[in-house]
Amino acid sequence: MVDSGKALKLAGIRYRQPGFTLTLTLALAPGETLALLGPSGSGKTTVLKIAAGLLSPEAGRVQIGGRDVTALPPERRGVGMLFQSYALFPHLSVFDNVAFGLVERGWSRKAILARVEELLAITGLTPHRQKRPNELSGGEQQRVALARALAPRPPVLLLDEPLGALDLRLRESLLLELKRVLRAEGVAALYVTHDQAEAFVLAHRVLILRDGRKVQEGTPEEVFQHPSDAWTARFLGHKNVLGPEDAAKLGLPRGTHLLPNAALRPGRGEPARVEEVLFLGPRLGLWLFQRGVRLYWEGPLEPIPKPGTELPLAIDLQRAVPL
Amino acid sequence: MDRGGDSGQIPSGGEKVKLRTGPWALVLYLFLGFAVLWPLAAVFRRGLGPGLVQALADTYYWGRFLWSLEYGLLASLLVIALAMPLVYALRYRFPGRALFVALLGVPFVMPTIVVAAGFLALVGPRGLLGVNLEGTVTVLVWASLFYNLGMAARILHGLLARSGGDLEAAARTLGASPWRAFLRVTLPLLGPGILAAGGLTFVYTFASFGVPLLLGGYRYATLEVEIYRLLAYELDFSGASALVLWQVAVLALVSGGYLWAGRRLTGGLAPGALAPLPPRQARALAAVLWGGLLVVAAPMLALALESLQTPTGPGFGNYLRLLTGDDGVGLSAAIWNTLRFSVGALLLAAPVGLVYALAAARGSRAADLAGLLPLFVSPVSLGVGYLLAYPKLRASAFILVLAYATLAYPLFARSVIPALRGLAPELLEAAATLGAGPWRRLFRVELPLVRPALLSGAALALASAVGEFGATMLLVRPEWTTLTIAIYQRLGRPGLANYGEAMAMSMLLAVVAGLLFFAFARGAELG
Repeated sequence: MVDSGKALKLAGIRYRQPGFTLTLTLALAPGETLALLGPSGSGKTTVLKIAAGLLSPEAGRVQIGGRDVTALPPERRGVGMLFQSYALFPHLSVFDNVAFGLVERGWSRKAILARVEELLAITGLTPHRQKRPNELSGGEQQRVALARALAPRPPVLLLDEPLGALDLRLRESLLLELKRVLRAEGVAALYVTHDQAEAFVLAHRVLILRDGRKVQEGTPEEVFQHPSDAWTARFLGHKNVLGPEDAAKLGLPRGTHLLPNAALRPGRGEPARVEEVLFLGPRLGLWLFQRGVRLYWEGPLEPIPKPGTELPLAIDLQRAVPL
Repeated sequence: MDRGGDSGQIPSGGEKVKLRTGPWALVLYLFLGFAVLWPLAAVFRRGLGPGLVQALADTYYWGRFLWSLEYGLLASLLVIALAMPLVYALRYRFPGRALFVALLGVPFVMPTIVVAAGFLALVGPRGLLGVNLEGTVTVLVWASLFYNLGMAARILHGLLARSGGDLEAAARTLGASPWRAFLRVTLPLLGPGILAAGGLTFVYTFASFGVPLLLGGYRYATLEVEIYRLLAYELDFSGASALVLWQVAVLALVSGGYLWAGRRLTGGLAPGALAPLPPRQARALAAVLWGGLLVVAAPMLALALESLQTPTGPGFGNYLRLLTGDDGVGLSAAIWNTLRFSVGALLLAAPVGLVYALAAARGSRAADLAGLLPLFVSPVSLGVGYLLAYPKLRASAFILVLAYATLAYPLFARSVIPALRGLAPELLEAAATLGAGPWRRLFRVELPLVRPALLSGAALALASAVGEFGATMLLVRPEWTTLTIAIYQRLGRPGLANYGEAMAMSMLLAVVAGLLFFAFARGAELG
């Protein structure tokens, strides 16, 4: 069962709870970031806990670095985990939080000092090294949790919605920082989120989970451009998912279709009625009616049309994606 | 009180809406001055002279003191040692868990004389078990365990639930074994809880009265018992005052430590996320826990059984005799006394407790601490203080009501404070923007929202008054005989009839306290 090409492998995992069954197989290459994307209740966190050894699966194997660790407790698996609540130890300073795992692994004091200082510098926490977690802002706590998980140089890092508790502005800047740190450390990461934008920015590959099952897996571009079904398309943020009837009205062949944003070109073509105009700053969001089908388009447009007026709209049916 | 507040002006900032502690705190301080500090000052004046020197030179008193210390320490260590595995077990689901958790709070409201009677029923000279443990350390430590194990479990469980499984899980993923995770994460987080629970157990045990008086004999009398004996048998006010000072010094020291540790605590058994167990293990855990509870609480069961034993065989004879009350002070008079003093105490304790709760919940740290004072002045000491400071009041039953209210109002307040603190400040701000002044906000928003806490506080206060024993022993006159005193008198008289009546009365008190607890105070924060 040795498969040394993989940093982490979950093979034939099954885990059951009343009203919920998780069945999953996934693999993570060294240095790769895989986003586990799904709505709440889809079993994302359960997958992480099984990988970390905090939950035991009913069936299936867990391999880390080609070694079967299914029977091992969390402390002997050597994975890093970033908790949604951060789970920082309130009785320890920032420094001691980050050093926690190194102490457990029996590093020398000198090595601990060097490694912790290095991580504090990378995450910009050096001025806070002696503070307690409750003296830090949410973003700072998040960075401590990241530094703590990375400190022992785990081959695999598990991240449970690490930006979930932060406000929008902070999320954006921390997202980029997280990406930078993950790439710099070269760690393989399994990243759980319900936010597709986060997954797309951060991950090499995306795995979409629904009700404990994998619906689709691929690069962010593949998944976004060719969602496997209507549910996935809507979950990823597509607005123009047309049922068979609407598709027929626009002249598409039978079946459900996805019209990507790029298939719509306002400014020429058949007139469409403007139902609603959303001013989004640099872009506009338009809800339009053409041939009795309600369509959404987003992009820059001058001048701004008024609701109730008509706007020419060309639809490139070649770009439609059958689902 | 502050009557100028209701002038209809609408406060502008959030802080103005909540902060009005001054007048409330002042009322509290006035009450404390009258009911605690002045009596204590009288004890100081009396005890600080040659009395203290004599007491300190007396090896007999040193013996009492060292035994009280030993008793408190022994009980604290044992309570902590048992409470730790208990709170770990309570993280799991097992059959009957909800009832088990509720029962843990019951001893808190059990009158000390009732518990003493229960131990006599189980392991007294006429006890069910046939083993006489009267006058042994075993029975005294057992009683302390009965009283404090549930309290300690509630404190520690609250901390453990809040610290959550996430922290332990984080430690595990960082390479710590379960034992290392306990050592490096759980134990440091529980540290303050261990200190607080141990400190509180020590305070309650060190100054315990009813159980050592009835079960300890001369050998294991605590300082508290000795103070009572000095006054009741020898009328030695100086000696008693000196011992009170001695006791107060120790209690102040330990209480200070408890308060320091307690600043980081919330009590109560938070439901949290319970870990599931396979059915067989869950049943095994339930068997162990319920079995343990049965052992610790066996005296109460023995009490119920013994109350049904009459000279002519099993039956309700003891209860029926109480109703007819053919000898001296019958049950009806004792019930009437207990009722009127307790209700009177509640009428005084509720407003004082509310004033205290408002001052503390609105951020007055000084009031928060000062209001706890009566919890750490023992009932007998308080009685000594009243006798010294208010000799004229000795003829009036108000002195009993005052003592009951003083001992009871912190219980009322401690149950209301968390509820008041939990109110969202936006609610008061909203009420203010809708035109409600401070008084209207209090009566239309705050008090209605904390009604359950007010009820549980009142129930705890009432239970404490109904079961009060130490102060009553010092202050009571024959015509004021309460249920607790009536029980004590009957336990001291020979004959199976008296014993049976004492058991029946104790059972009655236990049921009243239990009903008060289960009806109103089950979820209350205790201690």
